[in-house]
Amino acid sequence: MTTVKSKTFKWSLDFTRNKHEKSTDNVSPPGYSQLAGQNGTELTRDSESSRLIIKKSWDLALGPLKQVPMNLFIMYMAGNSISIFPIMMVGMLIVRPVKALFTLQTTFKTIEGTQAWGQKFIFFIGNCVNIVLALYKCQSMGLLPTHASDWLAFINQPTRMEYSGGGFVLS
Amino acid sequence: MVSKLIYAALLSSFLFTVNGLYEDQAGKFDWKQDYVGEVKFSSIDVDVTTKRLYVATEKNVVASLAIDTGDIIWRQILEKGPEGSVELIHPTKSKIITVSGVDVIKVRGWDVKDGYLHFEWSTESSYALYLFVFNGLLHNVYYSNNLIAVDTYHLETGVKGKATYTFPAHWFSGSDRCALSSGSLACLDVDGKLNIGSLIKSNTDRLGLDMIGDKIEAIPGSPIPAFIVTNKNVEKLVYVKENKILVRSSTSRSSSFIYTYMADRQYLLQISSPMQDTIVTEGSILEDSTVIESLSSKESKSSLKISNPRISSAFCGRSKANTVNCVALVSTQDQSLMLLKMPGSIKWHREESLTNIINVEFVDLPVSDIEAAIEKEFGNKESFLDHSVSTGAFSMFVRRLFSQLQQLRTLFATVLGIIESPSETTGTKSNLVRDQFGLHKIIVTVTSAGKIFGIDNLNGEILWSVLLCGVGTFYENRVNGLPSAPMHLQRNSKHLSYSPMCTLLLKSEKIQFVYIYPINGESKNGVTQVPYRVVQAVPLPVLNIEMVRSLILFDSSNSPHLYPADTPLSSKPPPLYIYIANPTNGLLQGFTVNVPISGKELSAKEVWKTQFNKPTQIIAIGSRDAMEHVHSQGRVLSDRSVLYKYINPNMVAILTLAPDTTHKSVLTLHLLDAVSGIIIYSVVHKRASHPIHLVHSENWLLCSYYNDKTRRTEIASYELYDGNQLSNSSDFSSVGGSLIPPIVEKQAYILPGFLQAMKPTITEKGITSKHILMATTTGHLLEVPWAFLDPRRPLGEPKEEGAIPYIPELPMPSESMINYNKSLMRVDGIYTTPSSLESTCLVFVYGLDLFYTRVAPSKTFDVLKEDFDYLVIIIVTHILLISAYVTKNLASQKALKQAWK
Repeated sequence: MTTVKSKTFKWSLDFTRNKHEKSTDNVSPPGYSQLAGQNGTELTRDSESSRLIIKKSWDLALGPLKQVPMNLFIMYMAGNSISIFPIMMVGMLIVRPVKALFTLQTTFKTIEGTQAWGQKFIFFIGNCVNIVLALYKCQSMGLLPTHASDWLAFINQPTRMEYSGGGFVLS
Repeated sequence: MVSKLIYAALLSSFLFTVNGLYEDQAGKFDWKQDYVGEVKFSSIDVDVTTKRLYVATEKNVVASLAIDTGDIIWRQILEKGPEGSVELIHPTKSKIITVSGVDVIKVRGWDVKDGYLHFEWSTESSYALYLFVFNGLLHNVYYSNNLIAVDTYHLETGVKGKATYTFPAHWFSGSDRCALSSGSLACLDVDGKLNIGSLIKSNTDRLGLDMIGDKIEAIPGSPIPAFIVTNKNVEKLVYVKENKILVRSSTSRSSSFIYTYMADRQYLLQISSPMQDTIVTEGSILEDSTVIESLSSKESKSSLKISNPRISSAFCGRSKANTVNCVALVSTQDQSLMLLKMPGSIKWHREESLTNIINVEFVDLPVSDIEAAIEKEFGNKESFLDHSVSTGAFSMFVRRLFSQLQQLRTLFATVLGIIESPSETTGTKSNLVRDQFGLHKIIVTVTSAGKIFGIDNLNGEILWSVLLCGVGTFYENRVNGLPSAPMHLQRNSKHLSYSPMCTLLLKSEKIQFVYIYPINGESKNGVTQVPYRVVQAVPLPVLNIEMVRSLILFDSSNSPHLYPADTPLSSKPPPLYIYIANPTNGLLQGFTVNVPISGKELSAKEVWKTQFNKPTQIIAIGSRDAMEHVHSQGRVLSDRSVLYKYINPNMVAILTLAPDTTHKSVLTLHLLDAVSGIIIYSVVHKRASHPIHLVHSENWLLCSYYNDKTRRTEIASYELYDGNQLSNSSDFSSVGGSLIPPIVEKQAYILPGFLQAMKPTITEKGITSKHILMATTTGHLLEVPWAFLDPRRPLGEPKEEGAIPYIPELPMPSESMINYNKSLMRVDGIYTTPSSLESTCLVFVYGLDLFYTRVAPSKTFDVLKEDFDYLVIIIVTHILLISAYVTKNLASQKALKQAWK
């Protein structure tokens, strides 16, 4: 119906038309070339997605580093006493980055591009930093065998070079 | 009502105060045997209501025994040493009166029923020659100004009698040629005359008889004056009856006893033991030597081992068949006590020589036959080198079949309930086999009576005994004058094809060895003699090819000999150093011994010498137990650094005591390296005196002494450390190493009590913490953790975690008294030995009582508790398994129904 109307009166405006009805045959303003516009959107969309991918993968790469302040806070809160919860936290702190390092290839499988190597490196560094932090925590909790006393149980009884015996004279 | 409630509440509050040992555990792992000691005097009470024996012993014990069983009904222990030695016992109707002591005689009356003390009085009698009781009066005979004087005292009150009798004593020829029996003194003259005079009344009558004799002895417990006069091995019985001296010849080598039967008739009972397992009794009428048939008997028992029996007391009566029969309490030279029924048999038998144990050894039991077969088949070659294992396939198969056949046979035997046949290889009871945890062992004890016992450690049963008769005498410990018996377990039970071997060193003109097979007490090789005087015996660190731990014997010219000689050793022994300490001249010598592998041509060279000049006397040497292992080489400090222990296996502690003008006596502890002779450390304790006990273990020492100044027992504790650096971790050498002296930590503690013996616990690997076992004079056996005696207990704020702050007094909690209510009196020593369980240490305490128990210083961490509920665990596991299966089935059924819907 509307098409008929619009065909019949070229310059008339129909205000009775439903708002929700979309006009399909809006005329482009003068000087507007659809082709040129089409070409531009194509270009921007392409660069946008790759930018997003890079952003996303940087997010992924920087993730471990971003965790550092959080981990520091957890470590501070956990304290240095050796009990079940601090031990669990320290365990998590160590296990998570180690796991992440082991699954490094699968994590970065989808990520390609010029910056992939850098991202991988940053991700690796971040996890290493986390491990170092966890180890520092272990150290401050006294869990690392860094003292001589930790190796005491492995010292064997020295062998006797000489053998002696005797006592009171028998009479 | 309220008071009842309060009472109940009070009672219940006492229920849980003790948590050392549960009541139902009492007597489960421990046993105690009470003894009285070698009998000196005795008396038989045949009153039907009491029926008891009263004995006074060499151990200063007064006791009452049940006549039927020989069990102790009551026992009273008098003072130790000569102050308490019983000189006389006198039974009355309701009391047993004892006279004891030497310079001050103490007269005590004990209740016959329960042994309570009724009265006590004492008097000084420095010169008493003889004491006897007559007519309720105690007669004290002494010699003064050529007169024999007799003081009398009323026995129960101590009131001195009217006057002192005196007798002219020109015929008194010294106490060694006189004897007193039943109030009459008999003396042998130099010119061959026997004079007998009564000391009861103030008369000067004396009886004389021409008789030449070397020796005169009174017949103990005789109701009439009776003596045995020995002249050149001919014994004559001399007795006085109706004021006449009568002489009767007596059979030699038998012991006599006179019993008054029916007022004027006396029986002569004689007892002898021609062999170790036989007792011969004879009875006759004293006057006319008519033999009484019913009293003459001969009894042999293979388990019996006695020598020189003598009747201590007897009682005779007339039986229904109108024959005379007697009961006699017989004590023997080997200190056993038995009740002999004549005619008839030995009613009971007590081994009282066990109160005089001088050496103890725990011996492992051999493995059972089946296990031996398995060990032979699969055993590792290192520990079972000795058995000839052929490795051929066929012989292995045959052996397999054979051992399976044996297993089958044993299975049938147990199923059918056939009585356990004696084991073929060991020849002992089949229950005498090694258990899994090494808790079952044989205690081999040597007693000063010359009797060796093998005791089952689980129930205290005497398995065997050996009486050393005419073999030799014991060595004497020159420090305390007691006999000492060096005993070495030369071969243990680990070597299957060889039997274990224990060697005891005895001395005679030629030194002698006694081999004992410690499982059944047989002496296979018997006695060996060597033609030199042995002054020191040291076991070698290596075995010889017959799996015997050879001994290095030093003779009096300090040249070494190997024993057993001429048997090559299995490997070259490490450099061997031997030290000999002589307490009489204070000389300490160190020798190096060259032992070639062939076991021939040994040579020794003196390497060092130390002299302690008089009046300094060496009183004790403390060396570490050869079995001891130290598991931890250091001690962790609070800053997590390590303080390394100074563990010198060659270090010995030497205690010397010297009198001093200002400090009474000075006790010095020297730590000496037995290899190099260097004194590592020494420390002085002033005003320290006996009793002194020394313990040396791991890197620490304990020395207990009585402090004369503060009048209390103190324990000085020393600990030696190398410092923060381990000097040489792989091997320890006393020579050539750095000579940096160790750091010595020291501290003293007060023990609220007096010690009788002290010994540390020992375990197989040394992982378990150490406890010190202390026997106190109050009869307690105290188990004190070493941590309480640690010299590093902090004085101020505790720096190390778990360190107990220093408090000088040692706690004596009742929970740590491991003998609970079984008091141990007169403890002579404590013996500790490891079991195969790392947590458990076996303890044997000897003295007047024998006590065996086991202790776990760090709790039994390697075994389940004996109250572990196996049933609950089994039930729970089964329920879980069943429920898992049931639920699995139910779930699958449900899944099936779901699928059909």
